[in-house]
Amino acid sequence: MNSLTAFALLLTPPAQADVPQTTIRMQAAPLEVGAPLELVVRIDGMDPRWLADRTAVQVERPILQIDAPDGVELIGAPIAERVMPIDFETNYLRLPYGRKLVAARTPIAFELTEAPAPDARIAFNLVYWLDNDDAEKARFVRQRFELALVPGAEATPADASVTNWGGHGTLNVGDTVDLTLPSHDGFDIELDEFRGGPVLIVTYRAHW
Amino acid sequence: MCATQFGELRRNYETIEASGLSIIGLALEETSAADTKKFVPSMGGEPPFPLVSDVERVQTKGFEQTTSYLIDADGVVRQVYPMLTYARGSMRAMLRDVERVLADG
Repeated sequence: MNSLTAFALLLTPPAQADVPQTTIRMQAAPLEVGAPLELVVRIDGMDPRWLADRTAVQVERPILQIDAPDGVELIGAPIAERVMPIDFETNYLRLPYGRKLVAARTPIAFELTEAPAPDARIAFNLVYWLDNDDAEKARFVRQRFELALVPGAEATPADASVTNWGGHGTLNVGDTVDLTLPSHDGFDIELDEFRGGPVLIVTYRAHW
Repeated sequence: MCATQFGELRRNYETIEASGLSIIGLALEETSAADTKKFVPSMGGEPPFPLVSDVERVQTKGFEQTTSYLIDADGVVRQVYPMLTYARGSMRAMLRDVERVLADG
């Protein structure tokens, strides 16, 4: 089996009927530089458990990553500036901004600091787990959206299998990794040492 | 490592190991190897897998926080999981991906 076939196997999208239908729409009209603006993320068919608890860290909710172009300032505080517990309603997770969706219709506030280029887009990655209660069916979904910076623009995922995960420069499926890094017990660890089989690299913060 | 992440990996480690998958914990940003050593006791003790650090992000610019990357035997990223260890059923789903990667050879 060649590598392209292998990727296709891993990235086979779930049936569309199983996936909540999402649209992202530009609400603001007109788009004035310096004025408070808003776009809205609407998810139909959202799992009600995603909305169950607004106080705890509900990581099973979908996460919306927002990759804003130059000239677009999202309104909200990076989550790294806060301590737990985290209010996901008003805070972005990190740059390029990530946000937990807390309702079927979630407004995202932003401001233009300069007039957008005609081809400017805000990109969104919507990521979530489905069927969490069934270990045999549980699966991970990523969808990519690109919204034009024009009044009334709307974005829907063309293909649920689109899997760009992060913003520019982030590691994606298909990229190659090679690391040699110091371990906490004083040894250098080379990824090459694990090349006999698959490796799961788990990033973390020790102070959480 | 966040205690939730670490506990879930520890609970599932026998299954993970039996699947043929290795784990590397990667501390980013402010967590140095020395910091990690200091926090290991609060995470339940020494992990059964290595913990590495890249505070300066020299080799890990593309990696994101609290994210897991499934790398195949050729060093190619085969899947990227956000908050893998937090979602119910996510470990099982990940292990199915491992089976596919191994089957691909």
